Amino acid sequence: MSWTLEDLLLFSPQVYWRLFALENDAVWPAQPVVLAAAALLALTFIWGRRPSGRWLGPVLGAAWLWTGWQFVALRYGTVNWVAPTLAWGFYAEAALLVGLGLSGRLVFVQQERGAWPGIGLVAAVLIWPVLAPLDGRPWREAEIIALAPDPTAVATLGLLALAERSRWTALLCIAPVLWLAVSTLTLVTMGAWQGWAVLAALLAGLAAWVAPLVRKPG
Amino acid sequence: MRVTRRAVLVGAGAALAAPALGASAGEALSKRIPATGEPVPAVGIGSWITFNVGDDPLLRAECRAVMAAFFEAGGGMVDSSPMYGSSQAVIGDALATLGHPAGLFSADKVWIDAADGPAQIAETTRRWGVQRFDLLQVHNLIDWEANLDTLEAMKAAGRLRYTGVTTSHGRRHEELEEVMRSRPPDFVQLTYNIVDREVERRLLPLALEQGIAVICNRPFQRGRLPDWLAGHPLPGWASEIGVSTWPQFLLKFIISHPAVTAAIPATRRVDHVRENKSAAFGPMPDAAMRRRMAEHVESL
Ligand SMILES: NC(=O)c1ccc[n+]([C@@H]2O[C@H](COP(=O)([O-])OP(=O)(O)OC[C@H]3O[C@@H](n4cnc5c(N)ncnc54)[C@H](OP(=O)(O)O)[C@@H]3O)[C@@H](O)[C@H]2O)c1
Repeated sequence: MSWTLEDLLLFSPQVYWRLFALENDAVWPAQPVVLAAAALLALTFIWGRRPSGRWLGPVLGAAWLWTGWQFVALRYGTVNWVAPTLAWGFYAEAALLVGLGLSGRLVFVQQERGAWPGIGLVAAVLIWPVLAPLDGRPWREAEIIALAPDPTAVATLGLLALAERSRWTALLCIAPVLWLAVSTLTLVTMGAWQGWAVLAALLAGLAAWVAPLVRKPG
Repeated sequence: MRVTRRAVLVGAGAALAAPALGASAGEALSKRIPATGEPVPAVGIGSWITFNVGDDPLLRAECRAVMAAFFEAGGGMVDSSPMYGSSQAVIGDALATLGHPAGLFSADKVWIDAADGPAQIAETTRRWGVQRFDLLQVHNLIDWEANLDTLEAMKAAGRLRYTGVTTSHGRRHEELEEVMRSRPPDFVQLTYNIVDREVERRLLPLALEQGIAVICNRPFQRGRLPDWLAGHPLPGWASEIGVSTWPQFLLKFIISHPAVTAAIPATRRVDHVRENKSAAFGPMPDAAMRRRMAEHVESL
């Protein structure tokens, strides 16, 4: 007998999914508001407009701060003693988004081609809430951007794929990539197929960010 | 509290009770702690994963119901650890709601470097809301020598009744053997079930020899064994030992071992806790029957 990932899992899937129900109950009716905002953001990019990082950075930072504090530290932290430590990654991401956004280092650009992967990831968070009913669970357990960590991280990777590549935006990729990797492991260990959705989003986000660098001549 | 087979089985539901009600009423099996001769019910309850439900009011109510059923069926050892997330607080909540029922044998652990042990124990005590623990164990042998110093000092000062050391998954058995020989605690906790039987070779005989009580964790291999066996019929001869379900079969196998003091299956279901407690009733397998049971499961 030896250690398996399963041995590190402290809670049952039911307990994990119900955390989202409790969070959704606590913040209702924030859900339609943030989803409408996310839809508007996706449409903005689809229409070819490029919002300023000076406001989008801080707004996204606020989403990371809220998710890290309210969900990861306070709610997830009740069943997983590692969670309050993980929340520090969310606070760091929030601070970076605010700092880099306000200082003009987060710039959304017109890409010669291939804005679609990024837009696709932002749009994906609009259908993310459907994962709960698809799994036979109630809508109350839906995961919503800015309230739940997975869709927040997925949308962030999408937005970073739409931003100018720089050392700074690379730095911004770290927290969402690490979180989605941890989430994949947690969900797959829990036996939840959603883990594969998270992994797919993570790989798509990474590919979308790296692709223009690889394509660049010279 | 005298608990009869009838009381437990009636609670366990019609499906369970039907074949067993005809059996003569008897008392639940208790085992004696070698250090003092004090009896403890042979079926206790664990809390890894099952009781880690955070602040969820609905799931907390379910845990309270499980604890209530456990005490209705005679109570006994409740095992937890600082490692198990909110489980300690959930147990404390249930105990407070149930008015700190008689029949509790409180067992928790210290799971930190010894320097921080006393602070962790104080926090654990606060979460349970008990005056003192019956048993504190060094979890997974962490900093075991220094932690045992702390526990022994607490025991000497009358702030703890028994000391213990735990391992699981068949790991670190040599180190546990060394502890049992060099500094025998009152209790050891290890993994023992009908398929994980390595401890039968050295550790269980050594526990008998040294007068150490044995708690068996993972009696169901985290639920894998009942799930797997559910697809197989019980052998006809199981009725000879008063067994009508696989979980009873699995638990009787464990608690009938002469060296074993208690098994601590974890569950979040009231019907399961009643079923598990019912395994302590009726005839227990002897050595030959235990061999037969293990061989049968091996053959499946
Ligand atoms: N190193 C250590 O100190 C250590 C290590 C491991 C374990 N432990 C202790 O030992 C305890 C027991 O081990 P464990 O929790 O790992 O595993 P376990 O008790 O072997 O298995 C628990 C699982 O069995 C299922 N179950 C319980 N009663 C059942 C029944 N009558 N019929 C069908 N399924 C049943 C439960 O599901 P339901 O909720 O659906 O009933 C639960 O998922 C732990 O809770 C913990 O307190 C200590």
